[in-house]
Amino acid sequence: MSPIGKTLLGFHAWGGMLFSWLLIPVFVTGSVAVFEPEVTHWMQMASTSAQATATEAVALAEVRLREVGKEAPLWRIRLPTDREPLIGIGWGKNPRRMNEELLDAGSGEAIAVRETRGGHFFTHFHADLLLGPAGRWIVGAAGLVMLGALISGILIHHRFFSDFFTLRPRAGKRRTWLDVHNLAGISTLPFLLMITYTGCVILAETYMPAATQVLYEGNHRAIRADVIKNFERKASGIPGTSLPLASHLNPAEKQFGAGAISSLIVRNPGDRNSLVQVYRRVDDRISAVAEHITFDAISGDIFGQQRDWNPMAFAYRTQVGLHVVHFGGGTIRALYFLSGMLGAVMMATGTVLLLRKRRQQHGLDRRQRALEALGCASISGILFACSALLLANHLIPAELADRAEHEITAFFIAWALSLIHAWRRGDRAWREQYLLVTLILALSAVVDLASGGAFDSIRRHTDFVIGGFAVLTCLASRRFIHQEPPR
Amino acid sequence: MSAFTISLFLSIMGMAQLALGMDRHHRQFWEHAATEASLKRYRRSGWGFLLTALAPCLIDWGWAIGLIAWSGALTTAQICVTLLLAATRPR
Repeated sequence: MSPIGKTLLGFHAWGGMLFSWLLIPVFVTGSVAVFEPEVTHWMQMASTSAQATATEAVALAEVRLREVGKEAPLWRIRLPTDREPLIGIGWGKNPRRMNEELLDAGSGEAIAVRETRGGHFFTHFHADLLLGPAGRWIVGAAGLVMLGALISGILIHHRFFSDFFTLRPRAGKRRTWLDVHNLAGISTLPFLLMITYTGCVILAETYMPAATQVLYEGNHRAIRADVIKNFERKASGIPGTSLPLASHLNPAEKQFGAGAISSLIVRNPGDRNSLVQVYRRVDDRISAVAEHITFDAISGDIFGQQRDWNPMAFAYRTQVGLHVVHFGGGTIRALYFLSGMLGAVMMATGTVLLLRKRRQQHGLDRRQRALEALGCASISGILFACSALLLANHLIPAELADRAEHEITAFFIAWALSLIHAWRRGDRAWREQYLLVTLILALSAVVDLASGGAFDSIRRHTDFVIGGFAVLTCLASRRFIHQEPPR
Repeated sequence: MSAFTISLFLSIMGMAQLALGMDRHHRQFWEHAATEASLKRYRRSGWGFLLTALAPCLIDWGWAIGLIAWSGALTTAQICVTLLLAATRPR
């Protein structure tokens, strides 16, 4: 191999493995985050039977908001969808810290759900490891190394096309690992390049802030304000008689198409200067931009609307949309989940390949054991942590104070335990952790089905997916992970 | 049958023929060698199927999302064909 090839291989193997400790958890949580609303619904243990039209839902929300949000200058209504079948309402002063409630789409009554971060935890962890800007730096750096590892992987794989369909399950162990690594990488290569690149683009503003500093004096929100027109006006202090909120749906649908409304914002409800802003849904196009139209709440006249976008902003939001996959329905989401998990499989097998090679060369010294423990904690450990979060969510009593925080504590404790376990148990840890994951996932699905999940279609589907995943981890523990028996 | 299912089916047909258009996998599957001409026919037909698989995606989703669905079908098909090859005639 040429010196350049050797350097590339060294970077690919070591850079890939060191950053895979972070990237595998990021890929696993990111894949789960594709189903954020479903996971939230599951974790809230909410149940729904009723469905409502947009008009009914808005009317129900308005009744409730008039009760609880009388004084609030800002109301928000999210219409129910197949993925989020409850009506979401919010009221308050600060749009970032609203009081929130979920309403039954049939009766309009507030539903008490478990206090939980829900699927948002996975999204949040995926994007910044719950560390804020510092986390975005870390994930961004890992993303850049991932891009480098992908490209160096293509360059050093000199049998790219001739090994396109190659999988030799009964060849030597090393061959099989390499075949799985190559298959997972090549089959999902377009996806991996796209998701890593768009992920880096989304985070770019954090680690390349020069433009924001120069043009907007470092104020991120100023960029947003430049792109998204907000039609607002000050409250007059004089009360006015508003039209029913639902009466704005028809004129909005004339602009956006039937059934295309996703949410409403009401500014200064009850005031003569009150405005109603109606947002179009974003799930039928790639670009994550929501067209919106604002009506005068008293007269119903159009106050302003935005349907054109700055081309650069539109291009940027297209890349965001490609990454967060609101479009294309269940099929595309399933493909994203599958591809993301295959990306994690590719990294996991790469890690195993390097660890095995290093063990042959160096034997099982302390450093080797540390590397193997970290590898195990990032692969089976993250699955263990995620499944522990799901089970903890269902087992921690709903009344307990700060229960949402306890769930997250459970996640990190489980992850730390997996590292300690991997360090102490060595080779056996992989198999044991996968079996434990199988057990916990199966238990979570059963607990959920037994506690009302069987009667709610979203939760039932989620339980089946969890159960299916349990079967996969069980197979993984049997087929792939265990090392050869000592000769 | 959804458009994606049709597209996936066509992609699997296409990928299978691309595999059979490779000497190694042709021997593996049919257990005899093939002439260069027949390998070429397999490959050409395979590419044809893969391109045809784009059509249902475009009809269902349009260009923007259709291309993404198509590449998803290709990914899934490649994995299916590789697993099938490994399962039917392990080398």
